[in-house]
Amino acid sequence: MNPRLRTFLVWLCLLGLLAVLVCLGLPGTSYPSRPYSTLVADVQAGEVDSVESRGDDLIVHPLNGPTYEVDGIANDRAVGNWLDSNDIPIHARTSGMSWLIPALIGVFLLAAAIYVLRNRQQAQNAAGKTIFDMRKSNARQLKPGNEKTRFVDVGGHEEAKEALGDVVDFLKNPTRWANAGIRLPRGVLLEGPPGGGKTLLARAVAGEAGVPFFVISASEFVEMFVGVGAARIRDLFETAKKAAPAVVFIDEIDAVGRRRGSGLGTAHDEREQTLNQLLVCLDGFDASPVGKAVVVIAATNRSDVLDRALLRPGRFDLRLSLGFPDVVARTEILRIHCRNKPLDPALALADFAERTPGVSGATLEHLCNEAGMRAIRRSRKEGGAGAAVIRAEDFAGALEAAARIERRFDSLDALLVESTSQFTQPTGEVHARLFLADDTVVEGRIVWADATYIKILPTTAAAGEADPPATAIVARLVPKRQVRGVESLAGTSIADEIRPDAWAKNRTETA
Amino acid sequence: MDSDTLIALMVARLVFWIPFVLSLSVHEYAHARAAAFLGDNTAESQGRLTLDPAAHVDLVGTVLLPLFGVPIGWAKPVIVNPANFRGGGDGRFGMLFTAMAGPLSNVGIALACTLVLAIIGALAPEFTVGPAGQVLASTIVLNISLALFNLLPVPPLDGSRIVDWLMPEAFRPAWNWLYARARLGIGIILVIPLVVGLDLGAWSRELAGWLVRLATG
Repeated sequence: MNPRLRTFLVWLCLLGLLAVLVCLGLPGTSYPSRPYSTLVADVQAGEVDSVESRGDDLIVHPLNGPTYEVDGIANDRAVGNWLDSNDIPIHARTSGMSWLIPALIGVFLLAAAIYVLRNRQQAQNAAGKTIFDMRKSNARQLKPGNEKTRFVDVGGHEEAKEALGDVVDFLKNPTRWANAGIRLPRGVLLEGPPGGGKTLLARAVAGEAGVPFFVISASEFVEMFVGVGAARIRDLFETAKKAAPAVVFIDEIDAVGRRRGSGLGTAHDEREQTLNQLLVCLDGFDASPVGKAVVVIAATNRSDVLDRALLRPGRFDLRLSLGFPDVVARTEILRIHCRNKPLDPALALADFAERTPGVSGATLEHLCNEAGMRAIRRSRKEGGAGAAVIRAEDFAGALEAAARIERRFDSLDALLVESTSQFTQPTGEVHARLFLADDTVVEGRIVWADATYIKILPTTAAAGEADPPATAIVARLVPKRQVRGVESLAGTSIADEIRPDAWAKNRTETA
Repeated sequence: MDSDTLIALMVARLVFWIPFVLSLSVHEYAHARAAAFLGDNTAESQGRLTLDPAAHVDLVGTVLLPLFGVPIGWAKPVIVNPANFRGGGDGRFGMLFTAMAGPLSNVGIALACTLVLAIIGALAPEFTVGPAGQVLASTIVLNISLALFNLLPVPPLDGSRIVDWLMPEAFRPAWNWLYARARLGIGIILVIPLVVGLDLGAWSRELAGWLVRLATG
């Protein structure tokens, strides 16, 4: 309703109600009040025509002169008897419309209550949620066109991009696929280590397909109360179906997709119920008509714990493994993230990509950002005005900072584990500061390591020792674990032959 | 209390309450309008730039207390941001202007009712003592007392803005300290009449009676 009109109507209603009340008679206020003695005098003079009781007050109608009232005596029996004995008629005031006023008041109070409650509800809707909203999935919907990410913004992952390109085409030209009698996967599972670009790829699908895109993290389904998660799944799929063709992206699906029956007791009922609902919603009986498809994309880095029912054909039958980028993809990723940054023309991103084997896309983005920050810091220190240009030294510094291991290791084993994870996760080049069992401190660059041996190019040597050659350190470390290959380390150049990149590849293939 | 008395009481309260709510709406609208005039649309963005009582009623202060016969009430305060005022400065004069708009609007209503009463008196004098005249007269009393009450120089009330504007810089820290404790002011409002025998109601009735006599001759 037009707010002005509403204001007008509210005023009209209130003034109308006021008018009605006033016309029905405003009780007890319209006569001047006189003392009891006046009444006594008037009665004794025979001047009183009749009296009227209203509440506690007595309204006196004299034969001549204005009506007046005497307050507080109407219910006094003695006064009544005295008036009776003087033959003065007493009227109890009961209006013929007496039912109307309570009715009006009732209606008014009811209307006011509804009004207040509705306002309050609206205020709540604006401010937050009521408990009934718990059953709504709080998926965020990206409107078509709001997502600017495209496949070209994703470096590497060529196969995944191709497969998802099919999905996009399916969403855009559904009839082409229907005519060919091809059923496209209902769900796409993106799996891979953290920072591998799963979410980025999903966003790119949203950007490319130009259909409504619902984003939710699977952990948002799970609530303390049993059944809420399932209700949220239903709500999500209903909403998506209404907006079909649409894409639903469930991030970190392992939060609900964990293999059933693994929990103890009833503690996992809620999660299993949520999973069951998800399974039903994924294939369900109701085949969607052509062009009304809802494609589900899920992402996880723990595909090993997923329930098998999730992975069977008809559900997440397209599994795309998004591993760490190779050197070509890394160059591309670096280029993408440096698009909007001023680069020193002498800087070759490809060289930098060479130096970062086993590094995830997210880390590369972080490194680009860090390098930019270092460039700004450097230009500020140099007092230079204008744009800070990123140089190779900034990248090198960023990499070194990200890859530094600085911890006390109890054993060579622990160092190996740490350097291995450091190798497979953030960067290829690991700087380590080692506190050995005999309290010697070695700081250096790990150039080559695997489960049995390690080589460190020291940058500093322990105090009290003459600078030992790099190979000497390795030779001293390794015999404690009595492993093979000690001899071969003692002065040869294995480390130079097996390059970190080759090693990282080897790891992913055998893992 | 028999049911007739109860009904009479409720009717009497309602007859008082309707002008009360409408007067408060005008009062708050006047604040919002004044702020908007000076360039601050905070109140407007909160939906307060309207005469619609629904935007201004406070469930307790406007509905429950008055309907239960407590002779004090309030509406939701209109939020004003002096930083948005045109013309710069510290915004104190703007705040004064905005604050004064409320009580002035009540004075305006009182004068308007006096005028209506005068017109009725000229056309049909018998109505001026009837229920319609009663309602008009009580509306005049109500609005005068609203204006007087709000002009009390106690922090949460509009009158405190006059003090704020006039306050010498030397006393300002103490004043600001008091201002930050506007809650205290509510206590002061309740205590002052008891201590100094200040009866705003009587003053309002006096002033309103003068207006009514002016109107009805």
